[in-house]
Amino acid sequence: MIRTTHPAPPPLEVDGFSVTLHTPNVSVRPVDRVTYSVEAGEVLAVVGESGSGKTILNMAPLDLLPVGVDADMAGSVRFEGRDLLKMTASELEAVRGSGIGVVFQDPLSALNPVRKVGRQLTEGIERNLRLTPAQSESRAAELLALVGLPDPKSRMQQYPHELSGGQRQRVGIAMGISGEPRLLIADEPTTALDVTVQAQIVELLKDLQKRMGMAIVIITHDFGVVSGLADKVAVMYAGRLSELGSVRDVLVGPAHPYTRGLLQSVPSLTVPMDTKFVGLPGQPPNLAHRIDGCAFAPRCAEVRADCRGHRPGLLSVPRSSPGHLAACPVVVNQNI
Amino acid sequence: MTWLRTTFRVVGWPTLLLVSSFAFIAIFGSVISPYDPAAQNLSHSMQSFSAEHWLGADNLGRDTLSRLIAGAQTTLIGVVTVLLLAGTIGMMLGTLAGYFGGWLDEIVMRFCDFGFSVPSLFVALAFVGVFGPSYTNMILALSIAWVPIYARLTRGVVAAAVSQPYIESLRVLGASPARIIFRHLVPVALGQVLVYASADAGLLALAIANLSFLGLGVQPPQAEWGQMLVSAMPYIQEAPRLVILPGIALTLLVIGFNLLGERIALAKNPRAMSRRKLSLRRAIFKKEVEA
Amino acid sequence: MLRTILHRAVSAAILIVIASVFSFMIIAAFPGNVAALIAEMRGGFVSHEVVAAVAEEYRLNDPLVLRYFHWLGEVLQGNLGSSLRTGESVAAAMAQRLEPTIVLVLGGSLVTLVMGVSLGFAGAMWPNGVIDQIIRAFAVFNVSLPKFFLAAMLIYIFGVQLQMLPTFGFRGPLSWILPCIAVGAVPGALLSRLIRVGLEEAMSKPYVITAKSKGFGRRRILFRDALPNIVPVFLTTFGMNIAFVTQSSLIIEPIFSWNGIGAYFVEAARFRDLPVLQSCLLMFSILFILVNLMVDLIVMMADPLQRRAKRA
Repeated sequence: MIRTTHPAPPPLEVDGFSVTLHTPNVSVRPVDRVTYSVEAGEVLAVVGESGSGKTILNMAPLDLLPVGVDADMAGSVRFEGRDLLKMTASELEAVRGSGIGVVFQDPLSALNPVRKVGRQLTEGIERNLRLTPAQSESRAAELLALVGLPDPKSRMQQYPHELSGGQRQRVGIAMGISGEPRLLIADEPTTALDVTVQAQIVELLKDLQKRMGMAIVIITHDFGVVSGLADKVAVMYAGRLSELGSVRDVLVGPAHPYTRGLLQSVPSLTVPMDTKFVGLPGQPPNLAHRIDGCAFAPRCAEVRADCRGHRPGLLSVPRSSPGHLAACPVVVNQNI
Repeated sequence: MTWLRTTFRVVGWPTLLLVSSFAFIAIFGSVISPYDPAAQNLSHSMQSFSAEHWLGADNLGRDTLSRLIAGAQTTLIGVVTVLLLAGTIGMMLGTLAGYFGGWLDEIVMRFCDFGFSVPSLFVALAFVGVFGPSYTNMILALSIAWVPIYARLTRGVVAAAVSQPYIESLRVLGASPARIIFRHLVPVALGQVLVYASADAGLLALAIANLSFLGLGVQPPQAEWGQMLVSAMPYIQEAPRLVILPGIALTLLVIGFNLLGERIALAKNPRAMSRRKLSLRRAIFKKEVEA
Repeated sequence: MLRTILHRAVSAAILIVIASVFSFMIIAAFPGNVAALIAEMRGGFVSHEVVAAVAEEYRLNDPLVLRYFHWLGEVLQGNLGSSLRTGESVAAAMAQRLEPTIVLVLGGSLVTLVMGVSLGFAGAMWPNGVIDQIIRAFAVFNVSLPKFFLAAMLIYIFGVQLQMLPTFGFRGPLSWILPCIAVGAVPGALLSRLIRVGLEEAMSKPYVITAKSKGFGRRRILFRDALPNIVPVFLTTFGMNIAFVTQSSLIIEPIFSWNGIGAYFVEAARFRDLPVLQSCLLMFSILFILVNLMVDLIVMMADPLQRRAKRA
């Protein structure tokens, strides 16, 4: 790998980032000392089971958690060199939309039910690109055409519930990229959709990313999306990164037993029909409880006695690219 | 005594203190009252705050404190009676309508619709206008005006319960309608009715005062706050306390009832946690982490 | 959509029929001898002959159903009978007393609107702040405040102490101020609570996070995204408030010595003036039923979700 020196700081540098959520009865830490970075024009996929903290990891620094969720954050999340956690509310407002765009998971609830789709789209364009209402109207129509929505002009006159799920998701994507952000965060943009539409959306994001040259963080649990779109993968388990590396390294040579388990549990068309389907046994741990030792140990096939002693950090995977890290001393030491 | 502790926790001590002190005054009114509320002493007419009359006396020399205490009695007895009457009749109608459905349901609900579209004060006023102004007629009038609320509430609860499988199976097992109604449906509805009634008490106290204020409810010399206030209006310049004191008494009682109703409704349907609880939670977590 | 409108209209018509039956029953249900009462109120010597003549005049001996339809026919022709006390035509007296009541209802609604919207928004703008707490406490207090006490205090402060505003009679805009405040303040406090709670709920929806992600601030999201979502609730509440404000006219008009329809109704109740009582109840009931119908229809038109649900 050739190291280039960047004159500008990378779009996203997450360093020792932790989030603690408080509810009336428990306090949980869904994100625990996570470190990674995203370079300009790069696509990072954050993978993990539901509840592994992927969404909170990405939404909390932007102050986009649901109302009433009380979050404490520690560490730093630098966007183009500036720490999001230290920004004032108005500085953060200036970053959202034009600096960092967001595509939300559930397109039905993410759109305002009583406002026309067009207005919801144009208001962001007006603000972030400083265009007149007329200009942003035509820009919105262009965007809707770009995301593959037929007859954008009349779509803009409709209310969200009058569109299909796939159409709404496309509107959501158009909305996320409407401010021409340098970084796009897409939270499971394909989960609510059927397979053919999923593939179209992945193609669309890929195409947009090339055209607009933005960095993307895509949150997903779908390895099809990962292989189709991402350059880099971060696997999350119980609030921490368990493996981080390029798509090639992680998908072809997964080091962490959890990543291997995840990959094995993906049904595939290329294996023989009678191959036994292996799912991941067990449940992810309850984050409300204190975790001692490796969080994955209870479900791990390679578990050793000393795995339960202390929680392992990320280690460089031998005989792989230098950026390939995994939080499993057992596997890493085996391979030496 | 757990129920007492539960009540205490749900309602909170300021509200409980407010409402229970009014209840205390109403129950022991005749004992604690310094004078006969109707006794006139013209030599004390319009006396201000004094050792003899703590809260002064009115134009006829009647002791204001004693009349305020008697007013609490009048109001609370009225509120409780109306709630009992309207609640019972409303629950009866609502249960029958919800259980049997059909034309009975249709008729009861139409009358409820009418009761809802016309404000209760109009219905009560018309009733009192026909039958003549008196305390009893006012209570009857308010009960009639309040029946639709409880009928509809009960009918909703019962109609929902009737469609549940367990009621269906009771019917198949041969339980009589009376048994199903009294053993299974009324208890379900009663809880809801009580919660609603606690929120309704304040409105009723206001309605009683409104009618008496208009001279269509409690008749002199019986003491009632609204009626005390209206008869003091001519003297508002020289003795504003005669207007202000009954007004404050009524406002306090209604605030107490409203807070009570709000708290009970909140306990049934908890919303977001309070800020105090949240900061407590944060503190506990900090300790947990440090440990 | 059209079917729903028709359905609502038919329901309203049925309610109006029920209202007419209720109003009619006021004379039919009167305890004791109506004819004797009427004869008594007319004054003079009450003999059996006079009572019989009155009974004949009011058709009190006819069957109830016949009487109802006869009465209904008269009402439909605009004849509401005449007052037992003064002998004047009820319809004419009502028309004469319409103006103060209209002023009170419109003015009171205006006070409600201004107070409810401004306080509700202020609370939602700075949630849980000092202003919100003050408004909240003020609303709880205000909801519990008896209207006549509020009116008495307004009279005392602005009329007796400051001598700033007239407190007696319906004479010109200056004399409208205190009654309208007395009528509008309590529902205004209620409305402010509803707006505050409605906005808070709307502000906790996911689409608010979307709006935030576009870079908008709280104020703008409040007005652009949350506001349209509380319009149906707002309209319904405001419609209910019209009934509430009208109800207040019963109490506020006598206090300020306004000769409105509310005061007319109260007077009639006080003196058992049955035809007036009957007519007032009927007219107010019809008014409320029609207002409810209109609010229902407007809410239906204003809500895109409902509009579409009905069309589908």
